[in-house]
Amino acid sequence: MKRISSIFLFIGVIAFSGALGFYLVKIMPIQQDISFADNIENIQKLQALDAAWSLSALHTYSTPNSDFDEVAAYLPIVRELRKTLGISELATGDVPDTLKNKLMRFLLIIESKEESIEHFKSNFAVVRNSLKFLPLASRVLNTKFRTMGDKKNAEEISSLYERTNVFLQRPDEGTQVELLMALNKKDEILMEFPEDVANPLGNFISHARVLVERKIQLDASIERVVNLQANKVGNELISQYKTYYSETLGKQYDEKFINFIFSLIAALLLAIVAITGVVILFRQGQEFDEKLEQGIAEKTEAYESAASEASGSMVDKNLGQSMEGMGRMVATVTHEINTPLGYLGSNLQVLHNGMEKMQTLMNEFSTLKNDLSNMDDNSQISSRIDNFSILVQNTQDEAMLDELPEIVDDMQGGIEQIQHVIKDLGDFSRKDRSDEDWFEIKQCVESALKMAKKEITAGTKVQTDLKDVPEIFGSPAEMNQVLINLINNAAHAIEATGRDNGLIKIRTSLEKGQVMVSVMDNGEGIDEETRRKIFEPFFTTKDVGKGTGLGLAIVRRIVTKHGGKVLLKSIPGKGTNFVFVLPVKKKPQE
Amino acid sequence: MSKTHRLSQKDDVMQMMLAIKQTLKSSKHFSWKCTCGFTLCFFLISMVCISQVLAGEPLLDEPIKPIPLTVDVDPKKVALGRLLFHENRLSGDNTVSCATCHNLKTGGVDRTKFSTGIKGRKGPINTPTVFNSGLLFRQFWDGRAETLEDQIDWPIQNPVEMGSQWPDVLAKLYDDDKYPDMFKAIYEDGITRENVKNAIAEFERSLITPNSRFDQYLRGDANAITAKEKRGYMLFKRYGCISCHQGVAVGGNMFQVFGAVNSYFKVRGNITEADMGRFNVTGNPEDKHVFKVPSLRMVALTPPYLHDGTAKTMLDVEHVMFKFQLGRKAPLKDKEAIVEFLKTLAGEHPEMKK
Repeated sequence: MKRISSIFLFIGVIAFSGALGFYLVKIMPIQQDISFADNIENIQKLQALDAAWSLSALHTYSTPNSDFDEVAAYLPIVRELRKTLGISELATGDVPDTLKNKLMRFLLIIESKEESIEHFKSNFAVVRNSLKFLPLASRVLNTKFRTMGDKKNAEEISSLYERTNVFLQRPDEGTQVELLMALNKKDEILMEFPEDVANPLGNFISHARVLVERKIQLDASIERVVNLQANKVGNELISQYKTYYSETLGKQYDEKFINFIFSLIAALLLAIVAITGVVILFRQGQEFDEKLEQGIAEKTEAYESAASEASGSMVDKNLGQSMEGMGRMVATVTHEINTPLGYLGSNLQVLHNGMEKMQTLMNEFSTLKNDLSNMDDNSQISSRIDNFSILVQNTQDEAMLDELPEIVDDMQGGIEQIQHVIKDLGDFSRKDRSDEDWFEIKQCVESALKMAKKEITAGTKVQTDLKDVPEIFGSPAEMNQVLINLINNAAHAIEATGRDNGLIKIRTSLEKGQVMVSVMDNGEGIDEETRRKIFEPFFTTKDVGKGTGLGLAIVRRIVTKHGGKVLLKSIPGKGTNFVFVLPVKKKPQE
Repeated sequence: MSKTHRLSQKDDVMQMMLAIKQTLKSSKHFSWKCTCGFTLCFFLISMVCISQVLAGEPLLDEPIKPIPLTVDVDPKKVALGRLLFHENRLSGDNTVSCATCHNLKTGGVDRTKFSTGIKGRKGPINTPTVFNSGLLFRQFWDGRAETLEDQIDWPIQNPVEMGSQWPDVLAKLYDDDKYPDMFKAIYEDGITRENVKNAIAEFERSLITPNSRFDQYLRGDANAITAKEKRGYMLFKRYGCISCHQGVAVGGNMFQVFGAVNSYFKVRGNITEADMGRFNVTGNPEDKHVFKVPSLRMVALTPPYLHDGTAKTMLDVEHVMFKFQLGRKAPLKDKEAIVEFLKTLAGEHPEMKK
């Protein structure tokens, strides 16, 4: 009995010490950064807001009569999130410095975004006004000088105006300095002119100067606004943070496990022998180990899914990239349209003023006619006629009658320019031309050559080698477009070299069961970097105003739609070969 | 802007982003992405074309937007804030309250060049109106305060304004009969610096002036303003004033350099620290003489004008603005028409009549 009770006591001691060990290990706290999910969510929210903010600024930039309320509305939300993150566990708690620095960098980028947006708004407001006013100011001044017979100054002003316009399309710092010097020179002689000249001259100089000074600043601020560094740094921050988090979580579980083993050994020492106890303990230990692994995996997974859910509801991964394309698109389209709109607007204003003067003149004429029929006194009549001719003179001076046709021509040009941009955009997205049918690629080549003729310079030869190939199913109109674009590009590439022995070769053949069409030129060729971007919409190497950068994007879209592929071989300085292949489908028997 | 108001704005942005996200997500295919992009593009272009064709016609889609008819604020806080706004004990010598300079019966200003603080001390800059200040994107001429709450710290502690210290202010409020209970009824922690600021700010957020004649016009009542006032608005847009003075508050949502086209300070001379504007806050040379574009909502009631208070009438400001900000000349009758338009911007608030 004594022996049995001592065994019971022995087992009791083992059980008690084992249980105590387990309990101690169990209550050992795992330090959990409960703000982890919140922080990740806030970082992702800020990334998304940053992108949306850029979009909003660009929208304001490209919309006439826009207000800044929407852009300003982001400020308090962004600021609040920035502050929350700034005082979060991640910024102040016990985390590695690299992670903290990354967060600081991220917040700093967001903060500088706020400043960039402010500079964008200020610059944009001023540039917008001056862009609108400068054409009018230059015209008024020009007329003034010309009526004074001061041809030299009139020409100088026209040239300054032209140079300013060229600068605005391609701003660079060298031209900026030159222009500012030229404007200052004019500013110095301002006092030599009578007031009625000095005033419009002063206006012209001030606005030209504003544009020359601010355009570069405006472009820089837009560049900063569109630049989505926050997206990149944010992604890096998130991945670093996640790695750190799962590591620390794992480390803590590891520690706990070691402690568990320790208590186990303690229990073993206490009991010296008791195989049953050891077996039980060991089995439980194994179970615990498994649970630990499972625990870590579950935790990480839960947070990751929460985080990705948050990111899913906030922002698409591709938003950054799309934004870049969007920025380029908005900038191109805005520029292409705003420039003609600028002078359309001010020309309309000139027309409006002219019309008002004409109206006064007409009214005066009809009263004069009435008065004259009731008047006998000759001197009175002649004084009325004198008055009238002064009025006519005034109107002729101020309404700039002889300029009116030119103004209207200008406007016509502006409208054509806008129509051109819209047509290009239209070709790119149009659906109504996609009537599909069986067609001969040969005919497409021939009609495309006819339509592209005017782009091909006189010295350039066109060779065609059109083998009989099966009919293609698809849209012949679209295929025309593809060929026209490729031929145009070839012609422009040859034109750029200035050579007079240009050659464009167009071939069609059947290769490996596919129809192959190639357009080859001996033009300037395409370098490696350009080749990578060449199919992106709005990418263009041509001067501003000469190309919308949609040509090859259209080519690729159409060929892809027809189940084909576009290939490109080019040697810079030697020439380029664009090849596209189209699949041959079985024509149903009629 | 109350908390809930701000929240709803947040929701709007979230929703916008959701829409963007969905558009992009649903458009995995390249051509779809382009089509989406171009739909947006066409929208922009048609906006351009339409607004050009219709320029000058009364449109509901104007760069100036009407002030919301109501604002979501906590009436208890507003009542408390109103008392505090008129409370002289917030100042060091118990002589000056917020309302001393921001007199609600005279358009939310005291109509002097520079306001007078405690002991007859003069401020360095013209007092802006407190009406519609909740609509502004930042506070002060140089935008140094980001919220109405933050703004309050400056006048309370500025020696030339109320010249006080927060512990003294709180102590005086504790000793009062009504304040401790009023605070307890709203805020768990009673009288604190943050709560005093919050109550005053909440009152200030309630000071919007909706339903002006111009807002009625914007809401579709074509006869709410006269032909001359319409002409004034047309000129306001045509001359380019609208570039900066736009949005709900007709200004107050951006910064601009004073002397955008011609240098104002070179002509006026005698440059003070206050004249440096936002440069004092950021230290960025690009921010020299940069100021918050003031709201023009209450302009008819709040002379004198400009940060230096040098313009006595609206016509005087216009002369300055045309010369230095717009860099162009306008006939007097055009400027007068613009004044007529500006007079239609101030709306109503019961405090103005009390």
